[in-house]
Amino acid sequence: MARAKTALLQGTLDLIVLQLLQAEPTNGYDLTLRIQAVSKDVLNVNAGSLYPALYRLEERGLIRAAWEATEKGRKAKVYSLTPGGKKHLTNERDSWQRFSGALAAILKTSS
Amino acid sequence: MTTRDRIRLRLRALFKRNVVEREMNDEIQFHLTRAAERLIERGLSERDARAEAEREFGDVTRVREQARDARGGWWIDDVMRGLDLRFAVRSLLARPGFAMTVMFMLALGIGANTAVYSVISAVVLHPIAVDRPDRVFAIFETSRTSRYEQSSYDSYRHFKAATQGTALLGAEFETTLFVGDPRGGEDVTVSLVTDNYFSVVGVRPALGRLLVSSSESISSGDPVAVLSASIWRTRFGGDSNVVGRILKIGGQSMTVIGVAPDGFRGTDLRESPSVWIPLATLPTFHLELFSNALTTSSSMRVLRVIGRLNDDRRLGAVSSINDLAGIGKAGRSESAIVMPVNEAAAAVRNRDDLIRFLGLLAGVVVLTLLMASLNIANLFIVRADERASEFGIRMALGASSTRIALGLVSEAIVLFALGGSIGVGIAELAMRSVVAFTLPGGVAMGNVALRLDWRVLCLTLTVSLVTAMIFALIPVGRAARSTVLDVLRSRSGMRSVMGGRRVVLAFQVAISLMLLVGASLFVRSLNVGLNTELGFNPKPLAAVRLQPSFVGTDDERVARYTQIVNALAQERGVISVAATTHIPLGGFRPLPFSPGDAGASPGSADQSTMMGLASVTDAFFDVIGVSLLSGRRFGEQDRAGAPRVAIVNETAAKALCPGRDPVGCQFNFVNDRTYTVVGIVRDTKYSALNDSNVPFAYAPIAQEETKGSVDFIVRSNMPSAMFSMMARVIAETAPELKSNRPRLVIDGINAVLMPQRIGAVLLSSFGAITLCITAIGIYGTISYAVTRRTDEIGVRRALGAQRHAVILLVAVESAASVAVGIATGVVAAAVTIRLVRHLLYGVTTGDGISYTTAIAVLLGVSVLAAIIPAARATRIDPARAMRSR
Repeated sequence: MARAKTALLQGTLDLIVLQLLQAEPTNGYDLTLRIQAVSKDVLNVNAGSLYPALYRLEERGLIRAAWEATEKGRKAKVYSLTPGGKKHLTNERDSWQRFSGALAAILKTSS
Repeated sequence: MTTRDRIRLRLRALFKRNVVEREMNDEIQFHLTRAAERLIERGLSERDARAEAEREFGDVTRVREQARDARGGWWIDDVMRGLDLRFAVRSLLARPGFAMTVMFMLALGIGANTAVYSVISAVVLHPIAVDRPDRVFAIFETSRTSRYEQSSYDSYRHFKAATQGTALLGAEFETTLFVGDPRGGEDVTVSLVTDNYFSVVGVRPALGRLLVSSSESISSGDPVAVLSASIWRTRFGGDSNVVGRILKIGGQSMTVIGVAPDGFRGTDLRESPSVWIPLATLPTFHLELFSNALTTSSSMRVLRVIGRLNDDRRLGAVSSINDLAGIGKAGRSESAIVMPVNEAAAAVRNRDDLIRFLGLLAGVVVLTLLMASLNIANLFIVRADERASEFGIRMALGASSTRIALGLVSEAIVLFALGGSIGVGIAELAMRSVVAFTLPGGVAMGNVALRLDWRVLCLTLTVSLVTAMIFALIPVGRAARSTVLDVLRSRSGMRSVMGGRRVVLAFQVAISLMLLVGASLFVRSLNVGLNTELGFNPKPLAAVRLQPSFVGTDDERVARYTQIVNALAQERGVISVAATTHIPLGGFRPLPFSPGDAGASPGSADQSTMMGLASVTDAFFDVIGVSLLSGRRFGEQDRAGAPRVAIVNETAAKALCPGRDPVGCQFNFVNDRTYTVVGIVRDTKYSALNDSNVPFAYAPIAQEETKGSVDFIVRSNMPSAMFSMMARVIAETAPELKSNRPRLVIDGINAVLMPQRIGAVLLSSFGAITLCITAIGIYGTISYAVTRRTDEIGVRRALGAQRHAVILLVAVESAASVAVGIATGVVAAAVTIRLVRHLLYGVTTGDGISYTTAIAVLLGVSVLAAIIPAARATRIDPARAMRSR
């Protein structure tokens, strides 16, 4: 792997998953591809962390799952946001933006 | 997501584990397939693509585990997986000795507790099966001598008048009558009851109908009978056509009208009636002495008065008859006590004795269970210690401490399930065998509706499980705290637990000693009781009973007795023969007698003496071996129609003829008949061994109306060989009669000594059990010391230590505990035995022999239990011990 990869910050995976699922309900595999694509290959999410994250979010009631047929006739488990998940995402996004703004400001001053 | 969705999801995760797992697998498979497809598109071969996809995905198993953790209910899932019962069974089978010991102790502890508490619950809490027992009560009169007298007919009528409107009052009188015809039948307990009896107790018939409340006094009565469920089953085979049949009861024909329900056994646990008949039929029986006295003498306190509150009041606040209706204010000298029927049922007079006895029993079994639990815990600790390296290795391989703890819990569950089931078996067995027992206060266990109490079973199981669990898990906590290397390098010491073990051992020794002291006291009581000076010698006496009340006139009956006595006297081996209405140690019902002749003392109740009266043939005193102190014996002149004569015992002589020469003095029975004393004999014990100074009189059988049963007593050197001869002779001499109840007079002592016998049996059994447990404890402690100090012993042996020095070295490990235990046990025994001192007979609570015996037995067993493992220490090979280090 030539490109530098960034390790995910604690707790950010949930936010990423929720954000992507709000855009479009999708299955686990496509979700990994989409994370890579959207982050321009900077973030490489391991399946080993993604699925536990999905189950955890489902457990917390933020997303729900349903089995749907894909174009190739396979059955895939498609996750989508629940109303609770939407609300949670809005809150989290706001606080993340405040946090990253503050962090950026701090980093700027000290450099 | 709503809460409902969430619950649904969680339940699904828990109970549809297979579905959830399958879906997870499907999802992972889908992921791998799609990833592989993408790689194939990039030109990889199908196999390489698949392999690469799996590599990228990572550890599938770990993902699964993490996913599982992310889901709810994971811990339950974990517990379910951790509780591997199959593994537990395998691991237990690897050490069968341990498993057997634990199960044995558990089964005993649980069995004993379940049985005893089931008995207590049945006897003390729910003895009587009546409708709304909180409204049903019994009334007792209080007199100078007893708090709980039954009532006279007079009092009954008085109570009835006073409680009119507030309660429904009934009365019963229990007696023994012969049911059946002369050629086949038996003596059974018959309860003569007022017609409203069944309305008072509130039971419904199992068959037919019960007595109907028509009259409220004993003035009239149809000859009808209600059978108990048990006699209906045993004697009538549960035949539903029994209603309408004619039964001979006490010689009278009575029509069976119904059967009482199964659970109903009367209102007094001492006697369980087989038949209920109207009280109004009393005068038709042989009991004329009785029915006359009953209506005329207020000293005849033979009625058991029971009642039911009319309204919604409960008995809670009602404790005396005053509360019921202010009877005490009605100007009577005696007061009366109202008692809930459930309390009145079990040993009302000796309730303290009964409660103390049951308390002793309860304490004993609880201590046994506690000891068993501690010992089980002890074994678990030793076992866990042995397995410390196994745990270490398993933890090194990644097993969580939770998983190891769950493994131990699984083993415990298997052991407790098996031990508990065996315990239930033991409890059932024990409860079946106590049916023959009579508890103090005369509570016959056969009369008690005994059922296994499942609540008790669950409780005892939980208590022992929790105790053992706490101790079983100690080593796990220890293992979790220590590093893997610690565990593997050395057997991590359990020294801190040793202090606790010493205390436990001392405690066990103390309890064992306490029980052993109790057991020896009761055994000695029993021995003293069996060798009590009875005033006569019961050993050579054999008796059979006849029911001659069906034959002709009084004269004919007497002639028949004489014939039988003479025929029996001809037989080989017979030293002497007599007939009597009351054999010694067979019990009797006292009747009121007053001093002076009928004219002199106009039947004042206060002066009367309750006295036993037996009708006997002349040879009676020779047969039982009681010598005449003064006066004369009965003779030919004392025939029917001649003036009534009596021979009285010393106590009766003092009571009836104070300060006079008793010979020639007179006493009378309810103004009805006057007896002249012609002789004095020594006192003998007639019902209980500790009843001394019971007034008793003997009258010639020819002068009495003895339509009831008569016993023929034979004195012989081989009394038990006499029965078949006696049956044959009676069959030849009186073919129309049948003899029954062949028995040795000395067997009466066994019935009399029942409380001491039960005490001896129970305390000996539990003493033996706890002694066993203690021995196992000592054995365990010494074994453990030997194992733990193998290195040290090896070194000492190598340096030339003698065998006995080595034995001493390890034996000291438990010597202190045993010493402290014995000291504590002696004190504990001295305190607790006092509670049951009323049940001891002929020995004091501080009986030195009992204490010495108990200590000797305990020491002997302790030494034995210590020697076996200690001897193993002497066989330690120094070279090997050193090498293993």
